[in-house]
Amino acid sequence: MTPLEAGLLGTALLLALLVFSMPVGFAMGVVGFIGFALIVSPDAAVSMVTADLYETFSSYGLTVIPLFVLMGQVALHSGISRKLFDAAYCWLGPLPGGMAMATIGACTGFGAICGSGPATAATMASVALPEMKRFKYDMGLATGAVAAGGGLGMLIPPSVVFICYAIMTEQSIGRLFLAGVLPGILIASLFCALIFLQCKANPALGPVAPRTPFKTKLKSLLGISETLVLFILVMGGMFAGFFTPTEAAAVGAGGSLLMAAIRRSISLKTLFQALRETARTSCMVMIIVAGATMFGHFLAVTRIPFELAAWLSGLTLPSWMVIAFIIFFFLAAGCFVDALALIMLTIPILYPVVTGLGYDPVWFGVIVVIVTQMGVISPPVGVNVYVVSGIERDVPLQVIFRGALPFLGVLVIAAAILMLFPAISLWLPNLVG
Amino acid sequence: MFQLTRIYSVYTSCLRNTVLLMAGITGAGVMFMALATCTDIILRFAGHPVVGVFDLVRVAGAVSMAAALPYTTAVKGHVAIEYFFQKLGKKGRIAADTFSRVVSISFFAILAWEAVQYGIKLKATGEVTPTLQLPLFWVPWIISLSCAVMALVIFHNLLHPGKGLIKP
Repeated sequence: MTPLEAGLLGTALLLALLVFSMPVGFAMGVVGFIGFALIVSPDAAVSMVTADLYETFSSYGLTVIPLFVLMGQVALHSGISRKLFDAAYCWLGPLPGGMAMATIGACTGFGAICGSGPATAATMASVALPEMKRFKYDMGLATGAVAAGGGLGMLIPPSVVFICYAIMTEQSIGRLFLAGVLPGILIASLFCALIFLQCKANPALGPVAPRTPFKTKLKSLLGISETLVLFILVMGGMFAGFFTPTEAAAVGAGGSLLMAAIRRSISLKTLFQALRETARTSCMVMIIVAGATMFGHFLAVTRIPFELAAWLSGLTLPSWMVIAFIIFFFLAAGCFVDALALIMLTIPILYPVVTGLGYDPVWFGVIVVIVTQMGVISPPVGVNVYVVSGIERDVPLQVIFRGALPFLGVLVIAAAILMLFPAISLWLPNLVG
Repeated sequence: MFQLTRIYSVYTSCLRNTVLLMAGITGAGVMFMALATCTDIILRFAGHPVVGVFDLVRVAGAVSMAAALPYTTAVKGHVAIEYFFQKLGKKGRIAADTFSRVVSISFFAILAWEAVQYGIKLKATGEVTPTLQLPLFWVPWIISLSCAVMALVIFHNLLHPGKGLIKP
């Protein structure tokens, strides 16, 4: 069997194991192991998987993951999300659809301290949905806004998906974080514009809330101070060169713990809950990274990624068409596969293709995250929609999917804007250098 | 029969407690990583950095993440693609689930065994951390233990499909 044939067979086996519902990290590891054993030798395969598992778990660079996850979990359990929503509501509430816009604003703020999309959606669903229900918001719009807004957590730094992409492609975590800022703000603004226009056209969708006195508005800004302090401390410290990404994550985790302790907003019970969630989420990510590393080593010996890159480079197709095809693939696959898993599965194959075509890897990282962000609100496996549905059980799933549909359209427009104007994502990282 | 049921119940309880203990190690490890790094940063600004925090965080990270493996498996926290699996018939689902779990058990059993051998190799070559010169051979042994416990958790899930060993 030639390496190429083994590679194709391995890819088919991987798909079969995924259909059999084997966890993505395990499936990649198993296929990497079997494939390497077939092409090189069983002894080499055993050594490769053991060394990869050890190297992944003992990598200092990857310790950034549990620390950022801990920061988000402490913020989640200590009520920061409620304050963010209240502040956004004070300023945006009196506008048509203001409460839904406030939800998007709070999701953007919460995304700045929590790197997970579903966690952001779950938090905001429990904070914002009862309020929107009370003000008789259309539940399609309300739940759609929460599900779509939750996806912003994947793009706005710190983002677990960016960290994994950076490690897999040997890019700078800091540059990727910076590259996500402006696209994140752009998408949040487009979401708010969409809500405003929808509610202007049909006021029953998002009734106007009573005006808030200016003094209360100013006071509400205190509520975002903690998030702001944490964000500036973490990102500022990292870009000013005071901390490495791991140190920045530790400062974020330590800072959120300290703030929660001072405000007495976290009990021992909720701290344990936060730690358990940190263990679960971080380990889930680490096993995918370990599996992707094993699978990547197998693919490297099959030479599939390089052959594919060479073949695509030899085609007479314009490079934008190839990249459009890749993005369409991510969009279609993102409807069925978790965003992080999809990126880890495909990056070993597609990354050499993209760099071979001369595209900026940081820009590609942003585009891939936005496209997979579409997957979290697309049927049939929109994770964020299921998360919101799990919290708001009265609203049928199809109503949430329908409510999220206009936001999906906005994400398509945002992806097109970022493809046409790569400077939007690359300006900040290039500015910092 | 009664004796067997009782032995199995004691075994399940031991397995659950081991998984929870390992999750506790993860929690303590992550807290340690955050606090040690913060202390180092504060003291670094004061002109007295803590020597060897890099080594300690790296080792704590490896142990914490390895120890979290059985817990994540026990609460079914790993990402899997359920969509196509749910489209299979009942018999198909049982067959696919059994196959996938048996393959997983075999894979983690191999990893558990090989990680012990890897640790022995590190001991023989005298692998240590760069600053504090801490020996590293025991880290693969922790990973081995986690893989072994994880294989037992998957085996438990194979015998009790649909029921998690621990509620998340």
